[in-house]
Amino acid sequence: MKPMAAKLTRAFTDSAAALLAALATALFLGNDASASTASPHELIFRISLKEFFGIFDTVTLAVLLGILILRSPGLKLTLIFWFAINTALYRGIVPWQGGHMGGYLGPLAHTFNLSAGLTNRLLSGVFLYLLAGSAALLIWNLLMRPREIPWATVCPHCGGQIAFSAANSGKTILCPHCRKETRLREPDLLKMACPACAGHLEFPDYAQGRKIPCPHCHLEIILQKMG
Amino acid sequence: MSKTIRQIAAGHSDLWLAVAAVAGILVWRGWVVAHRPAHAREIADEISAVWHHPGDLHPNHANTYIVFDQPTESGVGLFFSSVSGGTKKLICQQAEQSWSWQLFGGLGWSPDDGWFACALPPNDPKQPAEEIIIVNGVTGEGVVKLKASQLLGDFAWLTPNSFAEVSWDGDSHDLTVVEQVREGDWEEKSVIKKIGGKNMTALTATSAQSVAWREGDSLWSLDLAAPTPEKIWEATPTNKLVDFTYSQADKEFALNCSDATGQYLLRFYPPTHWLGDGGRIKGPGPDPIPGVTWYQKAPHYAYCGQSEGMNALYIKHNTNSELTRLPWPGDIYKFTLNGDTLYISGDTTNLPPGVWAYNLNSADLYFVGTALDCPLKYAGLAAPASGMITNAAGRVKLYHLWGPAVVSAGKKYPLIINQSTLGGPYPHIAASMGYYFATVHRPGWFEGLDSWGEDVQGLYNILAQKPDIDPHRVFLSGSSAETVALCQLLTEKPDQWAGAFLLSPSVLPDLDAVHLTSLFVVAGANDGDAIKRLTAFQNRATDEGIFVKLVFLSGAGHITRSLNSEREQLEQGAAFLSEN
Repeated sequence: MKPMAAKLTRAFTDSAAALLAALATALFLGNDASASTASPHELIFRISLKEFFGIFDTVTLAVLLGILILRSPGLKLTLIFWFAINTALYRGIVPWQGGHMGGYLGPLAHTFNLSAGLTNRLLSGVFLYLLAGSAALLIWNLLMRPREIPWATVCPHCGGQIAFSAANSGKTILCPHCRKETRLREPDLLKMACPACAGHLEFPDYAQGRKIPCPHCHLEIILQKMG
Repeated sequence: MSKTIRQIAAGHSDLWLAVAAVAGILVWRGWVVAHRPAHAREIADEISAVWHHPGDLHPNHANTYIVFDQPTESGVGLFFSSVSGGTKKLICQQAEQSWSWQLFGGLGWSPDDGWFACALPPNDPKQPAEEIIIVNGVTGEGVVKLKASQLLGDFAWLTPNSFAEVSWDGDSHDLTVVEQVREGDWEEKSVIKKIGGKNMTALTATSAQSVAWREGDSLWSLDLAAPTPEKIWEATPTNKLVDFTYSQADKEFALNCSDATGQYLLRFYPPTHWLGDGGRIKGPGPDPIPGVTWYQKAPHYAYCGQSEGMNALYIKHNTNSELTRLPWPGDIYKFTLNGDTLYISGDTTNLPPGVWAYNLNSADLYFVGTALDCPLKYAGLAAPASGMITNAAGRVKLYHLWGPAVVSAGKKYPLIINQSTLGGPYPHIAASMGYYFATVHRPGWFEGLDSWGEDVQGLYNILAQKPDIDPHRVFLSGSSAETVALCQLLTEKPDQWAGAFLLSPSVLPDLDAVHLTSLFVVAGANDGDAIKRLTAFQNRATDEGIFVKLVFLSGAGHITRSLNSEREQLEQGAAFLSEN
């Protein structure tokens, strides 16, 4: 992953954590403010809005915890995407079934002195941001995933260096330099832990000193033999 | 050190941002609460604590003690109090939770004021018979509880130690005579079956051995020794019997009758069937006068009317006296004429409900008792401004307008508008929450109800022009049968109203025709099918995008009776006001 993608992913997951924390708090306060009044049923699951918002609040908190605990940016993005796509689906089904989100959001809107319409637009903006951001970054990360470091061996006949893919390890080929048969030998791999996320890394000795994005946390690190 | 903190912060930036977001939301909520009218709950609690008005008034013959009913924490209680003041004493109470359709309340004082009798439903399905409680007329202590019929209908003291009670057996009324044979020992002496039909009311003792009552527009008498009822008087086709009283001293009935031109009094002497003219009730205007209360004989009556934009009581003291006018700057709930004293249950400017006594001879008005047990710390009881409007149908009506407790120049305030009989606690809650509250005065619950829409629209037309009223935040309020006209107005002028308060609504708005953003609906949980009906309405409204704050008062029926219910209703109403 390119450093820019890693930075953007980090910024996005941080902002998502903040938005989900704000949403969970707002839902809790909204539910608390209307605790002593009767609650209508929501249209899809036929449970009371208080119960629905209680469950939604719990799910939001769980996603938030996931973002805070998980180390892999890919998993974080996947979790946010899952949350956002489900929310978007629900918000799409409600009007299709004849419901109106403005009515659902009345207690939340009153808790924060907003109109139901503005509350609905604000939440739409938040969910759109989470959905579009997580989807875009997942695609970008997929496209820009780190390429493998080619392995290399030295021809025993001419001393020339031969680069090869790990998949071809053990095969016998003609040396591109001297045209004699040469076996592609697996190089000795060095091990290290990522200084940022402590993720395990293995790399050939000749890659020492190279800067690469950590395959776990995507932060740029320098490959160094441990100890 | 600071470097370490920076490193930690950099490693957990998502956590810090989440914490900051939670703090931001809490600050937002705090800001919202801080900018809402302060102490909404305390104001509602205070006003509900003092605003429990006394109901029926039962002064004794000597005007020394009085019994009245008044809400308690869990229902309605009967209270005993000295007329000269002092602490009121609870005689008995009926719980709101198990409110019975059976007779509850004061039954009357014995002729010598030694006893007071009251009826109390049992609140026990296994023991459906009512209790008659005999109370000591000086101490207010309950002396004995007597089992009566499940369908106790009426009661009259015959002598200081005997009374007659009437009960319905499903087919006719039976009369039972009960007498105190020894101290504290009351025994059933006789039962006379089938003395009256289903319209039998107003049982009155005409002597120690005889009673009278009305049945429809006729008057009946019964000698207890020769138990055959006799019709002694009947109204003519052109008049109607409104009420009657009997003077044992003069052995004369005073028959309050009405015809097309109003009410008048007939004097009736049964032994000779003599009928005399007792005089016609004359009001200040040409309209017939409703709700006249009489005292025994002669033109001795009082009624409530309007004078100079406020309530007034008109009293005819005796045949030759002029009509006395007592202006009353507040609401009048009940009034009772007892000899030379007029007892009034109501509230006046800046004072919560209580009982007042007005001496007709000295023209002194004094407190008998008030609900104000503690000073109000947060709530204010403001006096309304009054004026006249021409309603949408062209009729001139009286209205009252309460303004917000605190007014800033140049600011616009929301308005709640209705047409009602009494102001009650709601104008004071609204004013404390920064609202205008306006009401077109309605003389009685059913009198003028048909012009609800026209009156409210007429008042809106005037008040919406006021520079300090926000015409985009005008709310309607109505209860029970008033909601019929309210809902009609909501659909006729959908863009005129921002929301509505529906108290025990009998009709609900057509959701396809209204443009509301929020509704406050409150009803008793025991009010028929209110829970099912209103929850379904709330679901539909929510699906339509209308926020409905729905409150069910546990234990209450169509009418709230206890302080608990009233407090809950006012607290939720105040919260809704502060959110809008």
